[in-house]
Amino acid sequence: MFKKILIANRGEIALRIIKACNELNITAAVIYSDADETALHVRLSDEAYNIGGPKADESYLNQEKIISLAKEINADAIHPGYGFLSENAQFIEKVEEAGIKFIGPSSESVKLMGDKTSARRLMAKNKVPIVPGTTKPITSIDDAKKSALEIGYPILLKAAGGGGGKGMRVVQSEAELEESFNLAKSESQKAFGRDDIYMEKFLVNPKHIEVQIIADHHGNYRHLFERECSLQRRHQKIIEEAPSPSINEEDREKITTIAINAAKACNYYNAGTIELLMDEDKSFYFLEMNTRVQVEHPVTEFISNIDIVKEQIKIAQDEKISFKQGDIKILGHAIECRIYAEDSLNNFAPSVGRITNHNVPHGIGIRIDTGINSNSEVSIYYDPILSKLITFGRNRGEAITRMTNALKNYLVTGVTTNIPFCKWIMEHDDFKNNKFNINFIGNEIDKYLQEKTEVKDITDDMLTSVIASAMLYNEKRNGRTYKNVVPEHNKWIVDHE
Amino acid sequence: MNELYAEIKNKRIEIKIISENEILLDGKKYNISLKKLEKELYQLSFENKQRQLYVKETEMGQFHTVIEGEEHFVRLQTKLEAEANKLLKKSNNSNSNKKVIAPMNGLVVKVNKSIGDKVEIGESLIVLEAMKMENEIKSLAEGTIKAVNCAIGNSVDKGKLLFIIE
Repeated sequence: MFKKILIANRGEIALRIIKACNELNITAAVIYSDADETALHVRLSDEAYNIGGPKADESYLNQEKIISLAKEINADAIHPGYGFLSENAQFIEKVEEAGIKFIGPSSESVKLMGDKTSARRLMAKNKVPIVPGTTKPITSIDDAKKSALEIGYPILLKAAGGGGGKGMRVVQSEAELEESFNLAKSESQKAFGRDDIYMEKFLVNPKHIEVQIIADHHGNYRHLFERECSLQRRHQKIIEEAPSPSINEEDREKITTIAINAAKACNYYNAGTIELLMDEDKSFYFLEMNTRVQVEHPVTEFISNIDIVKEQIKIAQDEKISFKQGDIKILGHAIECRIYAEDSLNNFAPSVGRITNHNVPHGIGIRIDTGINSNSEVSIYYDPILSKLITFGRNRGEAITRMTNALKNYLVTGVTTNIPFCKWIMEHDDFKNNKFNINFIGNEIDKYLQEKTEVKDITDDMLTSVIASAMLYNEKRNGRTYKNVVPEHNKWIVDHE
Repeated sequence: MNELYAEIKNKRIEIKIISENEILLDGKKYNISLKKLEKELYQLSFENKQRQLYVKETEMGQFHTVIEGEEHFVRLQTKLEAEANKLLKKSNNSNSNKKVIAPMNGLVVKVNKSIGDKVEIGESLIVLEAMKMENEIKSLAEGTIKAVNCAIGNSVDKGKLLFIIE
């Protein structure tokens, strides 16, 4: 049994793992950079160790330091969270060699799935459907032309070395191919240090559907149903839900079987996600496998009542999965909004600063996984995710209503957030009626900008804003300021509430 | 009585603040009360509503508010500033943008430019106090100051020539 786990991450996911450790009575040790000295994950940990400078390379990505620290403090295991070193096969190998358990899959599985072309070959061999295209890197422009003709335009050029939209280009016709091919190669080289490119048929309006799987070291494989994550901006998810509103029981049977087969094909253990694209004709294609805990795992936890992070830790301790497939069923519907420090009115540009207010919503069916609170610093060094707001309802409509209200009651100030944008989507008819695909945000953003800058009528909220601003402006100009209305001697009562 | 103009989204609202508890918006009277809760959090009652909101002045006259997950941006100008801008715009259009005229009666509290200074569009020339409010008069022309026709402490009347820019 583990006595101490080193959490090699920061922000909300580090806090999520700390909670799981607390429940399992395991000491939660964390690392932090110079920029994170007073971060929430440091304050809520059992032990915290400074690991270096604010740049990720100097701290959260510093493999040698993390492993030697783990040895020094006698950590039994390392939990990588998501991002940073979580899918770095070389790091996992070093952890394995150091005799420390890695809470995740083997370095072998990660290697197999990390190279996108080898993953496609493996899937095709194991009867997992892949998006039509090449399964080997394309070496020349002539090969590219030949393959594109076979597949049929439009096609998508992708980097074999990684995802996240880098090195990815849509090509509509042969005339554009050569230039795009060269651009994709150089982008890929910059992002992943290698320039191999492969080609896929470009699916025009697909939905993104993924299956959560869990496997142990005893050959047990389970799935925890699917999530739909079609709402993305810049190829990054911002709103996810479970189950998918777009599939039926028959489809679910089909894709969960695909997912289990994919996991078996790479001898997978621990938690993982099989990402699929669903075409307009409801064909499913393997996209990639994420070999770590996902940002959006809470929606699955809500509908299955299974604690995925706890399962991860137990599996790494050689325990069997704690439930049988037949034990679990879909209990309702859950939605997650990722709350980012970014400006939805300005091309989703990241926003930095100090959080001045962090008032979180409460109530039935509301969960918030946060990495920040009041006075937290949002720095330029890391991903601008602040927290995740998740709601649960007996059905999709109830989950959406709860999310809309929770967003109204969630106040984050000091940085610009995407809370208004998430709220706008929750109130969008096409979202409510499940008429969306992965192009939804790209297609609708202009409408959002228009609505946020031009109105027909003045609303009560606009009047409220104008009155309060005018009163404060006037007071300031007259050399007065509004004083706190809570008398000093009464303050502890208010603080106590 | 304090008169302001507010711009919010594509709307413009004329404001008269009568007292702490009375305000006119486009001529319509509201009974109000604003209470500070903490930091930038306030509670505003108007008519039968009690709303909690975040309000912060981000720049001079520019306010950022958040109410129930929705954010708003309010730009406030005193009547004097608004008229100054209008006048300057007009004179800009009529090709006589080299003369800077007092848009309203007021007391000169600050003169930012003197003869021979270079001036650019948007630069502050003078601060006029009127109705206990300071109003910045900005240049809508660029060039060199040829004449300054006022000094700190002067009371100036509306229409008085303040600067000539060459």
